[in-house]
Amino acid sequence: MIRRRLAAWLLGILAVHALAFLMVRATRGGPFDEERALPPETVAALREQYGLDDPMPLQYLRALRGLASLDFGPSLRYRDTEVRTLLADALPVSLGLGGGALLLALLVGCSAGLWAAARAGRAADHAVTVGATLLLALPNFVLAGFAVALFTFTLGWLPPAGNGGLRHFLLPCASLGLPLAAQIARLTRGAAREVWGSDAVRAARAQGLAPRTILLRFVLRPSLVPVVAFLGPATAALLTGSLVVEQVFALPGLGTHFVQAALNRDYTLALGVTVVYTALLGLCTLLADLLLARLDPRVEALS
Amino acid sequence: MLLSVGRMLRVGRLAALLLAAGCTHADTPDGAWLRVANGPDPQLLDPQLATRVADGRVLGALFAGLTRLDPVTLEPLPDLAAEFHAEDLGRRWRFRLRDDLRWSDGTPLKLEDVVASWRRLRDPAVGAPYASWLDGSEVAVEEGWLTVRFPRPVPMFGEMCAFHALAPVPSALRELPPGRVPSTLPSSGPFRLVERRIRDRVRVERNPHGWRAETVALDGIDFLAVESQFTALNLFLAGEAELLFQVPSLAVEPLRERMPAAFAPEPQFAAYFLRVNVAAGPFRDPALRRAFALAIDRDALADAVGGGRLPADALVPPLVPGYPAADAPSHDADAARAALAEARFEGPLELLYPSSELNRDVAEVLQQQWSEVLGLDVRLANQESRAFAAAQQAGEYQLSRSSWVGDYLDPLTFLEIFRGGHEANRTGWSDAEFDRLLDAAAEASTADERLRLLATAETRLLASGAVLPLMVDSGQELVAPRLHGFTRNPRGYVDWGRLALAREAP
Repeated sequence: MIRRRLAAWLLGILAVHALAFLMVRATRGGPFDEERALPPETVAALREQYGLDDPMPLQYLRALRGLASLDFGPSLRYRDTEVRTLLADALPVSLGLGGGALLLALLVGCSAGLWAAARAGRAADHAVTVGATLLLALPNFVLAGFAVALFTFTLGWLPPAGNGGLRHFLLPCASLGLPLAAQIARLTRGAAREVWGSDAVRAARAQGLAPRTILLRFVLRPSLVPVVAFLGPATAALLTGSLVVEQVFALPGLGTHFVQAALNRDYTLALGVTVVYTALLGLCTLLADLLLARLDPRVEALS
Repeated sequence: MLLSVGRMLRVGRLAALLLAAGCTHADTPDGAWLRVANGPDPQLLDPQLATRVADGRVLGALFAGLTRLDPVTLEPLPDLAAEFHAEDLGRRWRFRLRDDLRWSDGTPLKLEDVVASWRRLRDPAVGAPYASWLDGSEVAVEEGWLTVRFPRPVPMFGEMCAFHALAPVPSALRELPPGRVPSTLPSSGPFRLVERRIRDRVRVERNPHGWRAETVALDGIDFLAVESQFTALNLFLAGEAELLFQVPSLAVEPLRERMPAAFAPEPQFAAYFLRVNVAAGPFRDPALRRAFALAIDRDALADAVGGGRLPADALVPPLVPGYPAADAPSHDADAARAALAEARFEGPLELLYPSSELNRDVAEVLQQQWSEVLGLDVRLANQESRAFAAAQQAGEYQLSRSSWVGDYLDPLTFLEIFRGGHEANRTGWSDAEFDRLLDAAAEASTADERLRLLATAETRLLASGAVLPLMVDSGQELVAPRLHGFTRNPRGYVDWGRLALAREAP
């Protein structure tokens, strides 16, 4: 099963790569079209240097070779820098942001969901539901705006943007992770509610087991199943969310490159970032599915 | 089942590790470090290949020219040159370098560096956008003086030498193929490169070998790459940046009201205008162009978009001393309607502009004015900036938004681009008499005569209706009160070596 999934993953990357190659070139305006136009001889020399006037199939073959060797060539905007270097510099920032956001989403979401389920129908439960609905309704850049207004301009605790120490990552991680936390909280709460009402838990209660023991022994694992199943879509949400959040907080990650490479018609960089995003998304979905199979034996049986 | 919790914790630890990996970079060091929200990331730290204003600011801190500008008067002052003068109305320029000049790595900077740099600038294989500045010149070293001879007077060459394109570049850069920049880049200005982190910042520190090192007050500068104007403003307001060059349109009026010392937009030597396609489409008809030019109420337009922009009937901003105002068609609704009555055209009319808040506001005001005065409905179309640039260059538009920033304080920088066939012309307009007037101005025997001829040429350009001037752009610098030595000027010129930071208020 894993081998088949891996093959599908590779095929997916190939397809997205080909599509991105075509789409970025089909867009009007080239990498050297600027309002302050370069001399035509300069543009011709640059196009020649990057092989942009070669026939399309040849350019595509070159791009394919680049994909195979993970060497996408030099960036068209940062002429003295290889796309590989740009990606290698940006990847840790994006993984840090995404990893931090995911961690936050899991910690906050699971605890809030379990807590609400244990106090079903009470004020705490309603508070979690209302809070989660609110967070889900807010786009992440609006959330980011509120976060900056509160933590930078009202409390003065955190910087509004920029790349520095850990404190520069707290607001971006929160803006990216909290909407996910809301979704996770709802999933966990739903699943945990079901388990709390089950015969097994009622029997355990009758035996006088402490609520803490019941939670750890009977409730936790089944409640996490839907969360793990959600990890795949969650990664997709993180990746797309990071495009906006990195721009808002001026973080030098892949998301900023993704947006700007498209705007700048930086063909090589756009292709490189797209491939990395596709690979990451496929890989994370695969991992989440494997984890789910381990957690819930029924999943493996079905596939 | 606790095992799975343990696994989750391990995932968590991995995430924390990744997060830590993401923030390997340190904050700005302590001391007198200036933080500039510089807008888009610099493209290439090569003074001869850079064209963008944001790149120019970083290069201005790194590389000294033979001259620099007085930030108040914009007169050229000696920089690497200890003295310089023009002879024969600017047909000949002579420079003598300071003694014992050094690159930031300690190696000597000699006249030969200047000669070799200018040779590289003119090398077609390098493709330098400003190569034409040295067109027809002869550069020679004579008895310790650098002599530049032009076939015609170039009175603004002293000022041009303060621009990064003419600054000497080190041999480490000259030896590489064009488009490559050495990782350790020796410079000659008040600062030297520490590191360049793409999409993050360019960090420069005081250059101990610069000839002005003793008077440079800043320890260093972080030029932050901040694409979003809102993010830049947040950084400034939170005290994380002391200088930025563009604020969001929405913030202009509140800032003017609440922080008048920090934000005071001033006219720039930059024009906001429309290019008109005279080669194809309805605007081939001069009467229609005239009707559109006369129908625009520029006072109302400048008033509506605000931000300190001035209404402009002429293309060259009125900031050049001694330059007589060109005759320009100004708002006259009756004359506009009369011109329209003569015009013959059919089909829809369209104004094309690159997507931005300001451009949209301007386009909407124009649309309304044309509709009120001429009764014509002009469609508005916007395109993302590179698609727009390609369309304008290819002449695939009727009316299009344009802007031009003067490279030196002289009308020629605006007029020259409208010579027939110039790559920045983009209107399809070509006029032998206009070109002749520019040639005559170049050969003029006095400065007054020269400016008079240029004004006559501008009058011809404006009468043709190939360009419709709208406004003089304004500088949108936002300057922290603790930053000293910063002077607003029409060129947006910054002498980074003069800046100083007062200690932060506790």
